[in-house]
Amino acid sequence: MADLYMYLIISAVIFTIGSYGIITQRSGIKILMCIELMLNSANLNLVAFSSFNDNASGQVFALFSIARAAAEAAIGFAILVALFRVRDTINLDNINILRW
Amino acid sequence: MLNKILNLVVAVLLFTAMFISIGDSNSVWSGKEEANEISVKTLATGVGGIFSNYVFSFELLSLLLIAALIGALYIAKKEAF
Repeated sequence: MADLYMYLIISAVIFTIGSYGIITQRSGIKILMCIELMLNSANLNLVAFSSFNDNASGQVFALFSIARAAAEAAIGFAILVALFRVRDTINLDNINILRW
Repeated sequence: MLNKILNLVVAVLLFTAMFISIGDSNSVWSGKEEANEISVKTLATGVGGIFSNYVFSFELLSLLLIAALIGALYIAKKEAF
């Protein structure tokens, strides 16, 4: 018994875990991991609706979304590496160079 | 301590909102009881496939990936800042 409702509930649970991590954690790497969790819950929704509606577009969009998430993670980790060279920390409470 | 409780309350409220909206949208997608397997051939060359309808988006995706790779290398190299 794995109907569409179960997939949506699992996706909502994963999204909630990711948003709770973004709220509570202050380390840059943990926040990037939680962003990945939220993106993957959206991908799960795309694939579930695609296969339950017999339409291939959702899975193709999930593939695009995964590739875009990989690009985003690469840029995010590169920014964290550059910040760590300058500030010696990746605690995002101490990094306020974009605040005026 | 108060912060932790507030964070948990916000997360639980978010999940409750999503749970209620999933339950409310039940009438839209009800009646679809089991998943249909979509073959790789359909995914590749069928209607809405990655090599038929979305082949231009696929090409643009390669551009995006190579731009992200070069940008990440440029940002993370030693003399960036």
